[in-house]
Amino acid sequence: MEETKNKVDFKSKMQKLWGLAFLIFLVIVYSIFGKGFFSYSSLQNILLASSILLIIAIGETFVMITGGIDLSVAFTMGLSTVVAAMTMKAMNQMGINAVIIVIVGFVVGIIVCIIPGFLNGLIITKFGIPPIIVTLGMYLIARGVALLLSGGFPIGKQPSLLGKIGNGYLLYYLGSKGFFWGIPPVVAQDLKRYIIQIIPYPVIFLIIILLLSHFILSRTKFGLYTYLIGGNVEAARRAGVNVNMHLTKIYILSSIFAGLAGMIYCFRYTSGTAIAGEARLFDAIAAVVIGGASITGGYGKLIPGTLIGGLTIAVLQTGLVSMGVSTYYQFLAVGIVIILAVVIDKQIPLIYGKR
Amino acid sequence: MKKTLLLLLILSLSVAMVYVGIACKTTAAEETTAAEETTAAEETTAAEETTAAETEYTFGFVFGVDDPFYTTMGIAAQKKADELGIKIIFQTPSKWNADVQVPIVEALIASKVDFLILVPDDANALIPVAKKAFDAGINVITVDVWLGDMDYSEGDDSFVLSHMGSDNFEAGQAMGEAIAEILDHKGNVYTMSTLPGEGDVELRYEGCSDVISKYPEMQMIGLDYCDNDPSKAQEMTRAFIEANSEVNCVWGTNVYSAQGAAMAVQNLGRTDIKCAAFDATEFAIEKLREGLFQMVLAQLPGEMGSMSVEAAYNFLKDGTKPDILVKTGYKVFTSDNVDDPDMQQYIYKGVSE
Repeated sequence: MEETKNKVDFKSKMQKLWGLAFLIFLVIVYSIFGKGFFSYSSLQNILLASSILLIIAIGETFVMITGGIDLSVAFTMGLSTVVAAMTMKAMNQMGINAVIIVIVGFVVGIIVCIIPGFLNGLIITKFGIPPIIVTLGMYLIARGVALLLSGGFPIGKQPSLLGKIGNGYLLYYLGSKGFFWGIPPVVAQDLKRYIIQIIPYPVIFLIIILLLSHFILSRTKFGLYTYLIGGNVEAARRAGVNVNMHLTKIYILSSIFAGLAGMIYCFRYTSGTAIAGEARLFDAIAAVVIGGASITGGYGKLIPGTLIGGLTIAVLQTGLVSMGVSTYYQFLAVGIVIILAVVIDKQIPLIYGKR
Repeated sequence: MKKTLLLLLILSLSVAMVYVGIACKTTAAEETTAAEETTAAEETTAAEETTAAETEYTFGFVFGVDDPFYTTMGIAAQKKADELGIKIIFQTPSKWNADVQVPIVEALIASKVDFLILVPDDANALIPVAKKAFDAGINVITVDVWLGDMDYSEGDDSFVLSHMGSDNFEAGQAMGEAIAEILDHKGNVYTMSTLPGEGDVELRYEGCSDVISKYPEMQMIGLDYCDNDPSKAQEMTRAFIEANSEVNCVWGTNVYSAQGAAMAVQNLGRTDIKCAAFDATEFAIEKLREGLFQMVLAQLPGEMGSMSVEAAYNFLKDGTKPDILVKTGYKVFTSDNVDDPDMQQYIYKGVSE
């Protein structure tokens, strides 16, 4: 009895910890071999670089736990940046107060995402078509709409407040002058590099969303239904869950997360473009998979799971740059990690469960 | 048995990562520069003195995307760097996308390069991070594609030292003149470009149109964007040709668009359609010899590469500022001069050494 209990404990610990252990190992390797990797600003950059990726991955986690997948987020994100940027550009030209412009832009960017999300959910539930196909179609539709609206051009001429928020930090510290909240101290140009920037706003945004999502997924009925549907749809239905309604909500949620990621893009790059999210879809799905969610559904966690998955990818990508290594190796690295992650995840229960 | 397999997997993964790291180290010795940023403001002068005393500079060079044009640029830049004793870290975004390029630049800032040479993937989106580099004490030169409005004397982008690139409008005009000659001043011209809103290819198109519009019997009948993907360029060109009876000339504004467009013409067997290309890759030159292309315009990416490195070095050494806008030239290849020994050096190299 004692023996089995210890084995079970070790197994579940292993499952939770190997991802974290690997991440720490990577950080150590890059810190030794990379230049400037192990510095406060560099590690902070990794969080910043992973913010867009992680937000999309959070939405994708919800979807994948139900056993589905959402490919449309790549261009829902672009669509949201385009609509928000066009709105803000127009308002900027009318000379409206910058704070109002930014708030309206944000709201508009999120609301427009409800449409593709709702359509995804509707078609998947009412017509019973596999999510991969429906969201693939929506990927193309959103792409077309975003391109048509923007003419393919990136949209600039945004209010400067946008960039200040997107690239701003909560706290600044300058040796001789102390701490500054929210707004960087105004100093001579060559002193600027000594200002220590603490906690970028997009990262705060990410942390809030991550904690909220984690709470919803692990502590609410909404989260519970998500797991139930992923585990066994029929059982969920018989338990009284309105599966169609719930799934539709999940796809709307996923699109909204794409919109949130889009808003970070707008704020950081003061620009909106149809192809904003194109490079991130694949990384987001990889993050969820590395984080341990099952492709077939029913299992997956945001913290540590997807969080570690996303950080691992960001660390791999950033670390290779700091080592001066060609970006081609990035593809190799992430690909190898994904495959090994899934293999290891499958092996652990097999090895430790079988005795 | 299975336990060892698992351990073996984890071990091999770790070994692979470490091997990649070690195998790719270009220098044996690594100077550890002070990574702490807690130095007080009073130590400004002391810090500046220590950086000036370091003999080896490290530059960060970020290309737009993976492309023989940039590979050629990189080879020339590396050559100049070897001459001057500078170390360069080259980075290539996997896609022409700001969201991919910005983290690369941020990582370079964190590794404290001495200078940044950049081909921005988005003229607006890269300004905040370039400014970040500048604020961190890293000066910036743009090559090939500019930030903002190309005017670095004022505005949001005034911190950039210089832009070095082709005079795209003039080169576009040269393309227009060449096409006009090829078509005997009569005919319709179809253009394949990369991405809308991308300043340099837009200017090439405008330059070409400017010239074509002077000839009453010539017309620009189409402009499409292939997202820098040659297979898309091929499909779109084919579709256009099949839908429009009167296409006399097809040209592409850069490496991939020209490649794809010309392949469409070749695969359709339309020997009546003339082709021209911007960017002299080995493929383009081969096709020029075969008669598919009538004209290939070579930009001078090598010049951009070596000039930017040299300008950056001079600036760091003694503060000499480069010209705020440097226009590199271009060369025209036709069937007449394609075998000239002097012209061979302007052909782009496909793979880096």
